[in-house]
Amino acid sequence: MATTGASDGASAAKKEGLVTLMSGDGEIFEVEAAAVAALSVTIRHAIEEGFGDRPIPLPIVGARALALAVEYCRKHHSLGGGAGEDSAAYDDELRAFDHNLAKVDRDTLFDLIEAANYLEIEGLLNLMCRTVAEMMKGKSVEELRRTFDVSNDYTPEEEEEVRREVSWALD
Amino acid sequence: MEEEPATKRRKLNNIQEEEDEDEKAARKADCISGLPDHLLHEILACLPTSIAVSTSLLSRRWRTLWRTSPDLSFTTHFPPSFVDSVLRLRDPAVPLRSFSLATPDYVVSDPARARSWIEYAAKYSALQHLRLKLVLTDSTPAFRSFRLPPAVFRLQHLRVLELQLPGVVPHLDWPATAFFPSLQRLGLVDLDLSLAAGDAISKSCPALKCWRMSLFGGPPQLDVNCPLLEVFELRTHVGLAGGRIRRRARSPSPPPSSPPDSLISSTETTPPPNALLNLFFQDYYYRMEGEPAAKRRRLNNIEKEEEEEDEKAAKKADCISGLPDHLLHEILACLPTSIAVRTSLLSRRWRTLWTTSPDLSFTTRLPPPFVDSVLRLRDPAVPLRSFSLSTSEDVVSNPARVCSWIDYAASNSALQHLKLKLVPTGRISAFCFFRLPEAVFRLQHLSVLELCLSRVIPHFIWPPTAFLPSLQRLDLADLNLSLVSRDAISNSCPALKYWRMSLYRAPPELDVSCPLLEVFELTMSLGTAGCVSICGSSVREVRVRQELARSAPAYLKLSAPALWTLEWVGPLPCAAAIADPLPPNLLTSSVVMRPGALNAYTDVNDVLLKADLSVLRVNQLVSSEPRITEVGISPTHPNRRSKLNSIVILLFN
Repeated sequence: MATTGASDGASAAKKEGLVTLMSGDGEIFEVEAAAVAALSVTIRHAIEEGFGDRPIPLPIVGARALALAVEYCRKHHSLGGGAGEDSAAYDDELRAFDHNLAKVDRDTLFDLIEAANYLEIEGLLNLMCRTVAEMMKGKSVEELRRTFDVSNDYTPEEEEEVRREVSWALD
Repeated sequence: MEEEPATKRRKLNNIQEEEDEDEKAARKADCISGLPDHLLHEILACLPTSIAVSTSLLSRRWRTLWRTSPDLSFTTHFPPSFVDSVLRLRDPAVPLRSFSLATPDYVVSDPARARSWIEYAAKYSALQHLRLKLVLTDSTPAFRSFRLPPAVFRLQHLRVLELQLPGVVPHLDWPATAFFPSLQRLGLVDLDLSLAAGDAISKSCPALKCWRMSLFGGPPQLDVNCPLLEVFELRTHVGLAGGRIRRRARSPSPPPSSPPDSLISSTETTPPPNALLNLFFQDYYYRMEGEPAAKRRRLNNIEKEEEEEDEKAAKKADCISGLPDHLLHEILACLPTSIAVRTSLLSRRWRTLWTTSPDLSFTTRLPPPFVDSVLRLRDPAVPLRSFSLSTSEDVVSNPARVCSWIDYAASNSALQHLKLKLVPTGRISAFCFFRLPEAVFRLQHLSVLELCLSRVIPHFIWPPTAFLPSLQRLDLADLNLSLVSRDAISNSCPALKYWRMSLYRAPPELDVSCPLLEVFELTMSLGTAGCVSICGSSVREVRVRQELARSAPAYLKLSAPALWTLEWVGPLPCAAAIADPLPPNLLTSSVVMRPGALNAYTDVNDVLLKADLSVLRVNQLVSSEPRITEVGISPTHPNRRSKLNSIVILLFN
């Protein structure tokens, strides 16, 4: 289990097979090195470079996103051996886990995309990108702007011009 | 007497050793050439291009390999004609990933020539790394008026930019129109830098992580406020390190891994930097020591806190547009192209984003002009990564038009995923003579190929020249398949892992012998599977379904030491040859029989023996019967090797 809390990392990190991660907002996570290294290219490289007993800093990953990403690594490592969705090991339990993970709120979702991108966890990045794509389907432009709070910086003339440009793509 | 066994043993050992050596030699001979192209390209990427070119002499395998390498590096001494030849001979269809040029100007006396090389690199919008080092010697002043091509400053996918142009570009004006949405590392060395505004570079490079500059003279004001920046380094040789440096970053704590001198601002010939710079250093070092967040916040001035809050508000206001292009492209990749195009209405940020997306997916019912418009308007310099087309022929009446779309996709040698689904309608149509472009079967980087061409191509002949060295997944649906030779597909696809086919008519003989294959599935909708020979050390699942096969039972040859699941649906194979006994880790081996088939036998063991199925270690027998049948089971058959433990009989009327 990830222990979140005060940084008594120095002594605890010496435990076998554990690695210490520090989120951008300073929280310390102790996790199984094998699980995260199997899924995250960034952490694998950090361990290879000999961070071993020091906490690995992950400057742009927030504590909440990191906790979820670690949970993802642990689950996929123990159940699926880290293999992708093509693998036979991607069973109903993993599918359900991914499905639940994709239900996070919008801001966490985007934090997770940036975290997965930074940590280079391909499966998690794909999962989150698919989730955002699902949110974009079947919505009008105005609904899309509302969904993601995109501010429309087109001038009315400009927007008219863009509408003409892509008129062939609009119903 | 005592020595005799020893000599004998030695002799035996010798023979053994010789065999070992032969084996070793064979393996040694092939340890690198067998790697797929993309791995060999990774190796070539670590070499200067001069060495990469010379590998063409190694063997046929290597002859043209360097020409499709996405990396060029001219860093050792070379005559200018060498660069010209390389640029002329390399395959222009392969987008350039990295370009390094390091040369003293007396080697290249002609600035226009050097510029043409840089222009060659900059015309590839997929370029990720650009390193230019032109060292001026006094002998050739022609370079004094050298300018970088403007295209360099509009490379959307550039991640690393390093410019070292001492005296060659004496005064670098950072262009106001420069925009590098993907740039993570910027190195400007030995330059006089001019900026249109203090934050010109910060605005041009929203994704910058590492920023190093070594300048003769700095701009009067420099704002460093890239949100993802981790390392900032500034050295000035002559002038002051700018009048004012302001730095603002959302999450600026740099990794303690980097040594403290990774963040340096020094002025070698001037007094210590001003107060603003000092504050910035304190801030940095406090973060380095990992002070608790609360303390850190107290140290920062109020202005900074306000700025941070402003940023948070801005971030909440738009949670998606701030993502870098490549992440937004990953999201667009999950959407049909029709939705991707519509995002251009969202805001300026989105206006041209879809045109540089590497993925196209035409999967909903679309008018043909839509596809034409997309292909016309998308940026042709961005290589296609995936292409999906799913359409019914009543939407597209003209096969030549569909063919031109597929041609467009197949002309991208970087294509990784290709899915084509052409569904016929009832009427006999112009599509009867439709042929897939040859280029489809020569895509070197293709990893997924799915073809569903029900009756569009009535007789699909796997091209004898097909070679797909990176293909991992092959799915052929609703076809009559013909092969020139039984191992034609296995030979064309050496890296195949998943092979699924659903055929009307199968070739009479089929060899499945891809060394990495894990899953093989063959579904016959009309005829029988014929003679199937499956051989592979990684094969873990084999499924053969032939529900409607009437007569002519199939023949199965199987050599798969890692098999987990074997499923055979339809008439029992007339013979099965199993090379090795099936492995102990076989989980299920099931035979599903046609209705009524069980009636022919009185004893289940009889079934297993007659059909030579005991060797398959069938442990599940499924049959659907129109009425209850008398089935005798003798639990202890003397020669029984099968582990039959369940019989499922489905009754229906």
